[in-house]
Amino acid sequence: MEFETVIGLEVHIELKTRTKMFCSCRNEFGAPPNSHICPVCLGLPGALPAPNGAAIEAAIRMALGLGCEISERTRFDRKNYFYPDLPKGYQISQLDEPIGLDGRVLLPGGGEVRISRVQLEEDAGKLQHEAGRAVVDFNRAGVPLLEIVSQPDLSSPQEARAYWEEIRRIALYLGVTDARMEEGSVRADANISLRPRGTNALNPRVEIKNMNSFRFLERALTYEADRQAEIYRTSGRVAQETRGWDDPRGVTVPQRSKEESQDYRYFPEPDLLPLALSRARVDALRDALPKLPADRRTALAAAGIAEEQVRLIAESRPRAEYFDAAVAAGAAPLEAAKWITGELARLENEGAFDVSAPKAEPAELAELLRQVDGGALTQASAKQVLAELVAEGGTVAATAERLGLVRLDDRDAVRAEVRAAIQENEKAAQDLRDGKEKAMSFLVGQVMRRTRGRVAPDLAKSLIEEEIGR
Amino acid sequence: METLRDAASRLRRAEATSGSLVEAAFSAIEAREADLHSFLTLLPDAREAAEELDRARPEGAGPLYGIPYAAKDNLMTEGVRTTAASRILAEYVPPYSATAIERLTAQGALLLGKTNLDEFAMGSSTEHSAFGPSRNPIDPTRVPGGSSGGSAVAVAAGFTHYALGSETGGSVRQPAAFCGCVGLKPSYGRVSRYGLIAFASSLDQIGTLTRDVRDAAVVLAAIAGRDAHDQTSVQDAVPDYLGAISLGAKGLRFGVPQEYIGEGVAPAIRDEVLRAADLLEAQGLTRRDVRLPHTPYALDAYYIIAPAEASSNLARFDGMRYGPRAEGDDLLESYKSSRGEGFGAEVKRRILLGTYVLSAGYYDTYYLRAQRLRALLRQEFSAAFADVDVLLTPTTPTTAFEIGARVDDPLAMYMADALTIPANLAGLCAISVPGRPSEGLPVGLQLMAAPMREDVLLRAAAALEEVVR
Repeated sequence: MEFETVIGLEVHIELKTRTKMFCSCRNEFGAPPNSHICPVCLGLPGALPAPNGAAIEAAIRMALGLGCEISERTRFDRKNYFYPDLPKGYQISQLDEPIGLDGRVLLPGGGEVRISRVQLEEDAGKLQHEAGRAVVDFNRAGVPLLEIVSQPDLSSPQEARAYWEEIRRIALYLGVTDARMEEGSVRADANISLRPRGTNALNPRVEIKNMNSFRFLERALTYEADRQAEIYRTSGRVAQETRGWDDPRGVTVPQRSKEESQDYRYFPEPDLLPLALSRARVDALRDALPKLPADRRTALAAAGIAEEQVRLIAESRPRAEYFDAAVAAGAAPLEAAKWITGELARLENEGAFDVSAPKAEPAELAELLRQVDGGALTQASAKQVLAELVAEGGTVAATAERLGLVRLDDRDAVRAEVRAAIQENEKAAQDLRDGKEKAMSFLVGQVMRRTRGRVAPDLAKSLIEEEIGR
Repeated sequence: METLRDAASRLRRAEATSGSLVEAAFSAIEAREADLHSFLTLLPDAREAAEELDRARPEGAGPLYGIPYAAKDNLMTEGVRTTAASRILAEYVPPYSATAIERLTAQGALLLGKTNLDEFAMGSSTEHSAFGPSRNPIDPTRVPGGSSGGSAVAVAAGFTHYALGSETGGSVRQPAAFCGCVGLKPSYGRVSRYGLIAFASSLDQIGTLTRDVRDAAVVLAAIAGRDAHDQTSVQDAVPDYLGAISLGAKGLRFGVPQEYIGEGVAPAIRDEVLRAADLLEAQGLTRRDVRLPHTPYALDAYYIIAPAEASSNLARFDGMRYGPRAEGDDLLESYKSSRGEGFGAEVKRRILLGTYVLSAGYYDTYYLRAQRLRALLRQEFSAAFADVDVLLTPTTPTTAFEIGARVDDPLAMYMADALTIPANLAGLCAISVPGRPSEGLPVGLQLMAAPMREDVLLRAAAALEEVVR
């Protein structure tokens, strides 16, 4: 029998706010253990939560970014369970009236995933085992956490990964999170089940909890889909359970979960008043949203930019905005895309260029492309100018001047360089006369070396031909 | 017995010092505390603190400056052991103070000690204290009421001029009634709950025990008002309560709802309420008929909502971050032992009850229905307060009962709060004022007013106090 995979994801994003969700402790990763704690986030007797307006706003913005309906009234609930990392014995979360409902996300490769809800809650502390004992760092306790729950619309591990990446991308566009995977500020739980292709059968699902890497998610789901298919093929039954991903072994293993068959006894949080979110406020936040990745991708593709370049430009908001600014300054979109995903991306990877705080301003990229197009700079010179702009800032004109990279157009001057190159490389010149075309590019290269790339390659070539008398 | 205001004027006229007030308090305590057991902790450095206050006394010091007071031991006091009368917090020393305590401290009030209560404020007699019951100063064979029993005893026995207590279902008014002092429960949201160990968050409120109504006005003014630490504290400005009282009560409308003087209320208490009603009418207050037919359901709703919230609020006492931790073979065993050994029977009973009513499958039947009832009660009160300014009722169905009489009969114990609970459910302000004693035991007369109308409540209460005397 052929199976299809049904996957739903719960993505957790720690919001990047100055202070925690319900107290004024700093929300900061990496501080010494238990240095950002107070009676509230430590759950001391008598302490009460006071909601962080900035976190609520960030949550609304993210929900809007996911295309959700924003409830006019939102409310917090208590989720009750015992665990040493949970200071109050309950987590302040949202059950019936979450901030956002019914959103959707468009995946880069096409396809739409429905979002059922976006809820705001508080993170727990971090339980660690060291030297045979368990210790808890409560710095993370009370950090605002957004839970984004998808419908089971994902049909493959690859799609699940693409969805998670897109959620993270949207959050980064909105600036609501640092989204540092290695710090666990973005985590996901996945539900996966199989059903005979083309049916709507509801089969037991397996939950894989607390993954903090895209690669783990994809591998875990791939393994799990195979495992479940194998069970069905041998006419067994898949147990509805929580499993964990054991990455070194590459398998999922049953987990004795802290939440196994738990009744969370949710009820409305009496310490917090329901929150009224006015239409006007929500509309203002919606209007102020930046252009989001899916819109970016659509616009870039419509401009005729190649798919891979579209993906790279839309990947980060600063890069997309850099592109926009360069085009606004007169750059041809296709050329701008080529340079941003080519030379500038290479400089970014080398750490020489920071697109979120660019020294090489987008208007200068536009100017650079104009000079290349008009012939004032050669490609090679333009790369040198760009490298210099990226490091030092300034204008194309001044930089080209200072580096002496203004194109050498004087035929006599270029002819002198060509003659010198031929003289120094008699053997190559002879080879060329003998019809060995390889020697031509060598000689052109020598002219370029002598002129530091200031000569247009075509001009060098034609003068070389003249000089050796072809 | 001397009022807080009289003590303040003695201090102003330099006829007394904070030091002499503390000495007087300690000798009164010396004489009777062994019998009454009102305090769980006395501050050893109160004398030095008094001397310091005397030295630093500013011009125009406020009415609380330099005067010792007692606080119920479920209010956080920085550096001073705070137990909630529970073994699980027996050695707990908090690193911060409740907002109400901070506000008193800022006005020069002097904390003398922390008073006894029913464990986590769950009870009506202080017999559920892990550290032994308090006794009624009028008749030490009887309970002082609860849960703020220790605070009522401290005020009634002459130890301190006033004390802070807390209410969830009558825990200030009921002991005030039993001990013969004034017990004020402000409207929900009037006083910040920050630093009050939560019992039932939607019902809890800090209240005052004083020797007369005007003192209640003075202390309330000192602790009331918005606190950014408590989102449920209201923004409304705090009125001038003494100024309101000085307007007199003439022209105020009041009602005596039949539902509060029916079956189960001792005849002598009912008679005292009716006598008080006649006296108020004679003073120029207008009497109107009011009906509150849902009153009998209040107790049922309360014993679902309060335990539900308590079961969650008390989850933090797990032996992990503070309090004794019983080691177990695994985490679950450690939780079970820590909580099993740390909590007393009444607290466990309410945690079980609350856990049950919130459980999947029972939530709608119990918790949601109770909340609907609560909404009905609110509406009913709201309608009543369109016709009258205050409601006059007994505070308790009976006078103080004997120690041990109800401790093994939870339902009988719960009945002691039947007449006070509705005000908590509806977020009203309410006060208990001593009436004429019955067979030598104090009788409490209760007045209730609409939320945030402490000004009206106190006007009526001052008049009531005057006429029944």
